[in-house]
Amino acid sequence: MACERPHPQLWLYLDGELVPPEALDVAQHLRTCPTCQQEAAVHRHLQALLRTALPEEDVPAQLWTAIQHRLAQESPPTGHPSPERPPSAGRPRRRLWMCLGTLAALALIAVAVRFWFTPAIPVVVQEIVASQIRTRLMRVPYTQLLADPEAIRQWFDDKVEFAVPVPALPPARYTFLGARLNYFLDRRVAEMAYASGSHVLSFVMFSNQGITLSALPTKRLGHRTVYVQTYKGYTTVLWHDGTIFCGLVSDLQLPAVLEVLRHARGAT
Amino acid sequence: MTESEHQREVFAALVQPHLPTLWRFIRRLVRETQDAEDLVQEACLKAFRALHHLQPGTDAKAWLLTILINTYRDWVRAMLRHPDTLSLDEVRALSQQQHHTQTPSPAHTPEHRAVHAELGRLVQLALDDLSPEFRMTVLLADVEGYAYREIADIMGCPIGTVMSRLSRARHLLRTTLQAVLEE
Repeated sequence: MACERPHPQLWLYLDGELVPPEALDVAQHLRTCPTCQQEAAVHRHLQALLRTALPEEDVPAQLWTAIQHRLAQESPPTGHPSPERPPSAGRPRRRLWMCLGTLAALALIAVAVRFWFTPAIPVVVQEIVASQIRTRLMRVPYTQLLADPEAIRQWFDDKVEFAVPVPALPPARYTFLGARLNYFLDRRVAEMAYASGSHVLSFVMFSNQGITLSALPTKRLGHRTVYVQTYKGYTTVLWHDGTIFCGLVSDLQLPAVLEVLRHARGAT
Repeated sequence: MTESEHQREVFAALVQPHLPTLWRFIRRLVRETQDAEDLVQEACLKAFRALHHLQPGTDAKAWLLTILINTYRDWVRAMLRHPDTLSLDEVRALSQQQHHTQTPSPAHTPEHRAVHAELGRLVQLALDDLSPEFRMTVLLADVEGYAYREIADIMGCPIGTVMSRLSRARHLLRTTLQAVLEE
């Protein structure tokens, strides 16, 4: 059956950014939808044009020679010992190299240990960020509501199974963009978005059943402890509110996101 | 062999395989061959100075592209501060681009170009119409084949910015190249 508009995840799929099962869903859809087949064909044609039709120029013959000439005037990169030591300094130099070698090995071990013990990004963070990327790419609209916490809470009444703790942000600094019902981690998610300049701030709220966050770094915010994690360029700040799991996600840096939460009454 | 000779040899082995990529990339951004050469040379010099920061296992091509992009951005900023340093060719190119975007005569319609102009020139023209940041994003994705995350790292921006730039750039390219794509 043909879509009226191309499948919202088609571009992610064509760019190899989807993993199963979503990739499989789009692949199956693509097999039967003429609209998406047409879109995919045009997309591949454009990529082929960019790869093959542009005039190719050989690297100028003298370019590497010119680079080498400039490198020859450079002293060796810092962080390496000077090579211009007199030959009599051979033994101390060997010792220096051994010391540097040992230090490098120790540094390597330290990095490996740190890497080994660095906790993986929790699934909840991955899901929150992925949902933001998806909805931004799909341009999923928000439902326009009055920027009144009570009206927003009522709008969510028949959509989620909990009373949504709607944040109250000063309207002079934050523009309420709207609300929407999202879905990830097999549960319904209440989402409210605000704009601060050109940045979007999304509050997400859902049942906290089966979610633990102990491995994440924490910050103290008023009377509440929040968990913080940056992932794929997004900052997420997460906290529990009774049986509700709350998060604020944005492409703003962490201090700016925490500043928003300090302004938010009702959410934390 | 002295240590500095060794360093240069290591650097050559690292950079030379990627020189065609660096050259192709900068030529899509800069019209004057001499400017392109200067930028690649400058980027290589910066890379050499920063060689000790390169971690084992790092994608050398992505690392070099990051340095080249930053060098290019610095160059554009310097040009904007001192517009008189624009070469004649750049001025001509800018005026041609303005003519192209502002006064499309019947002889320059997309249909006419698709029939009569060389395909490569047409694609280059479509790319030139994009802003440099959009152009770099689409080149990294569709020509160099990098993933969104990698492009975000190379360009030093959030992944959401990469996605929106890519979507917008492709849309603009499709609009400009509609006649070719529908052939």
